[in-house]
Amino acid sequence: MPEASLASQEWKVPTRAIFNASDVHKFSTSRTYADYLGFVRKCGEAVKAKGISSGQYPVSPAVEKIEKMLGEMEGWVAEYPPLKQPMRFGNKAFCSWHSRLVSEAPRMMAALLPKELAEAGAVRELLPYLCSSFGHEQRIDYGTGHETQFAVWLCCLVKIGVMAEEDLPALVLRCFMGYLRVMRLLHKSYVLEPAGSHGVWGLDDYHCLPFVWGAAQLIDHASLTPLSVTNEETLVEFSDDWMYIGALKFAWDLKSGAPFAECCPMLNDISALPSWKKLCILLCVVYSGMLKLYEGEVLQKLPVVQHFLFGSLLPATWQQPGSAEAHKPPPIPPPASPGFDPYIDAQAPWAGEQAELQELELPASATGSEALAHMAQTMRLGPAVGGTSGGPGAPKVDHTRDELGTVPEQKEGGGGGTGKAS
Amino acid sequence: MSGDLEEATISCVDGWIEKLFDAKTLTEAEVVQLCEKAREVLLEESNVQPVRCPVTVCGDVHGQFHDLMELFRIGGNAPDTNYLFMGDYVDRGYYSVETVTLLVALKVRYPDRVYILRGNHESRQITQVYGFYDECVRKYGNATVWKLFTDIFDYLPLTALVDDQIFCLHGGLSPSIETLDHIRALDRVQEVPHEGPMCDLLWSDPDDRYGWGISPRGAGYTFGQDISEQYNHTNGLTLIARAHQLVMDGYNWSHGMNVVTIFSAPNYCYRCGNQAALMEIDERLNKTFLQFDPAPRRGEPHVTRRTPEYFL
Repeated sequence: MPEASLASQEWKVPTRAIFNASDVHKFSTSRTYADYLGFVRKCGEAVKAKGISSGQYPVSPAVEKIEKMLGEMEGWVAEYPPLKQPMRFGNKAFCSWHSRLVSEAPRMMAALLPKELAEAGAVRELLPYLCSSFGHEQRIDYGTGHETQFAVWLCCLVKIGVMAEEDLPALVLRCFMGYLRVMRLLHKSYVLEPAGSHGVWGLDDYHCLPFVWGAAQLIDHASLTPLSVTNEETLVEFSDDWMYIGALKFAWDLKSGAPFAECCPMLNDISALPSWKKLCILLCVVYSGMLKLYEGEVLQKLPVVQHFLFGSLLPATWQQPGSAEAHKPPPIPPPASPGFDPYIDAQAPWAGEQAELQELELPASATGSEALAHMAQTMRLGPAVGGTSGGPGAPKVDHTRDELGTVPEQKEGGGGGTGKAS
Repeated sequence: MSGDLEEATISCVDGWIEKLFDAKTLTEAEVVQLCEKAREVLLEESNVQPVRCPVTVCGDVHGQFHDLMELFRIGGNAPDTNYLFMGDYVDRGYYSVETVTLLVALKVRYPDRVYILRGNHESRQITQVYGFYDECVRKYGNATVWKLFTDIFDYLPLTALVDDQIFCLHGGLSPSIETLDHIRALDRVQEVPHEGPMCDLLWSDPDDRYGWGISPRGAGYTFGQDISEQYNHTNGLTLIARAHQLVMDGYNWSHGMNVVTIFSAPNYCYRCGNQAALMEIDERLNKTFLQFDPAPRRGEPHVTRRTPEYFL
């Protein structure tokens, strides 16, 4: 389903366009959001009741090329074995794997696209999505934001006609599965730090989409019900064919040593739902719940979605002069949501206007306060990185539960600190 | 301080501690009483709480209650061993309620032998995101206990100083702080602010790059070896001991042994495969690191299923 004519497409290196809570709201009501979410839904519809090995879907040459490309990436892991030197956490050999990705990806992308598109600049636009899909090369971490970059990359390939509507089942069951295989190997080999994990209180430390699309796959499945998936035999028997079960099994394999209800309480709760599809009506409880969760925890969470990249295929419509969206009255801020799914481990939830990481060069003799002033000037922000000190559109603290007295307030009779020095 | 505890209180708190070591939660009414006592005790402490050696220093626990039990098996029971915990008792793990209740109870019972500092997760805002809030609601049916504990978190000291030499805190240094007296002058009894010195102490990380840097966490800063050296020199310190970052071996020296990171949650989030560690400081300030692995599991947790909001 290539859109209009790509001959006159003005390709654009995609950039970030979400910097604060108000941008998240603009994004969540934009055409681009509806467009991308529509793609995620269509993919879900496309894999309903289809097992991976069922052969019930066509596999086009483009799909095969993508699978091959991902297979090649998997192969690189053997070339960069984990380093044995002491390090804080994630294995630094991942950085070598990632540099290989960055150097090879342009060639791979060019081979995947029709010549005229590749030459016109489509590679430039699609490359950043692919390169940021596998985790952060310096922090050696990974989370649902990276996963989304890969899905966006696939979405763009459909938009430019590399894959067609009838390829959607294979896009999920072959291409995205191939991506999951690469990720699982990377996780096992280089122990990527879970970015912004909620621990046992989140769905999963790394992934979301295998649960969304996997739940769609299981609709109308004759013998599997949500409850049966916590059974170990089911996990082994069905994990290769059903993405949800495979994702559960991967979590379960890694989290061995603790009862399922303790290490995955959310998935355990979901397994208590009555069925994958609620009593023959169209609404599928698990699938629709997963879709809502993906929206709530990924696409509408500032710390995650601030890394979403916008180009010509998925534009930041609200920024375009003359667009209807740009002329809408300023939106009412969305109701604050109870959670954030930070991209970075334990990122401050209020960190929205975070500037790009950069090294600050200070005179060696700079004192702390001089450094502070220098940084404030460099960043054109207040002294703190979060930039909440009154910058335009600075995200406000998310006091979602004011009725519970969560608003920080000065306590009377404090004095615990002052004057008690020894 | 310990002398101030009345006999009735002692036997009451001992009863709670026994229950907690059995992985049982206190009742809401008991938590109210516990937090009242904890507030009195913590109010007496300094922002730079003096601690005498010998003491065993521990990092993040994050609700991994069974691993905390293992920690006590490895390090010795309180009060036979003196303990200094550097924050992050709650969030992510399944047993934050049990973990934080036990540590606060130990603090109340042995105020001169157990010290608990504030971590960046001991905050109203962070606990609403990373699990402690959800866990309290799930285990108590409402948010009262969450409110009681997060109110107590405001009183936790920010840093500790072992024998005037080893500076202990959760995160790291701040460009707004040059001396310990700067820290002593802070008014700490408040929610962790989004910026400023108090925030930095709980959020900053050491880094390979020199000088101050922007933290990818969006709060606090990164600081280089030059900063650590200068800070230790200015304040007559030999070491900064901190937690806050996952480390594969449970402890990790950096900045030319000016900084050590200690992390006490083994196999973090059930999947990271890391060891945990604690640092014993003896009477002559010698340091020994004890590493440990996850505790063997015993049985299923008490589970109440609850349909997640997105699936209603």
